[in-house]
Amino acid sequence: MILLSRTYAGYPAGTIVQFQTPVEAALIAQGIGVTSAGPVTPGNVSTTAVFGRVGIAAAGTSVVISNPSFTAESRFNCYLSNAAADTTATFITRITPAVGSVTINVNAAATAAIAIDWNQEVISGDTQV
Amino acid sequence: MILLSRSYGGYAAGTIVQLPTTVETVLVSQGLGTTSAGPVTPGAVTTTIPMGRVGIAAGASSVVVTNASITTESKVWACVAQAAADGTLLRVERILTAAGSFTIFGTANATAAVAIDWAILDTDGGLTVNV
Repeated sequence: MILLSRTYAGYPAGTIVQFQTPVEAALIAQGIGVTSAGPVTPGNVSTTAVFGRVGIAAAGTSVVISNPSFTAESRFNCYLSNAAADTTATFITRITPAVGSVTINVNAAATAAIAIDWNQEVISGDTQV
Repeated sequence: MILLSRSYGGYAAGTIVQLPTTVETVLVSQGLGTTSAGPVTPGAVTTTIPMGRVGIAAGASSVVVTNASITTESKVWACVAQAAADGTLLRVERILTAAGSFTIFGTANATAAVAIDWAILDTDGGLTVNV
């Protein structure tokens, strides 16, 4: 993970986010951030990326990812990715896309901050409409 | 599904795995395995293939898939894939990626073996299909 010292991909400076290792290495080499052990900064995020990791803070039950490329018909893959299971927020119950954002809900208020890996699905192949 | 008589795609000989039908047909025709009604052999697997089916054994709540292409930033899709719901392991709840492997966690220890379909997603959210 990386602690951004400048805005990148829509994420504001001062936040800890996760990119692919080569991207993080390039950003660090350019002085745009420093390596972080994480976890990602919990809470709603705005980004232009189509995959990543977000966090829901303790006591939270949802998180919103804002991205101008999202539509109400966008599809997402999301799953909990915290190393140790939270005692209350144990699974994702809903993923609600909207114009410009997606909201991820979990089953209960988190006891501690939890991590959620997400990615927007590509509509392609024989099922494309 | 196919019972492999030789190692294929990183899977060990003697295990029952699920590959695309076309691949299974070719392997059977080449004598590398025989058709199996399944289920897949439960437990941790090592494979070079970017999608497949694994089994969480009865009494276990997780399974590890080892694949050299996985990184900590990889995104994975996984879900329970069996006709009858297990009595205790009801859904995939977490997926932990690491360098070279990922672990799929279910709700609780499985009452009986549970099949899990999985796939490694590319950075566009699509499936990697080079089986």
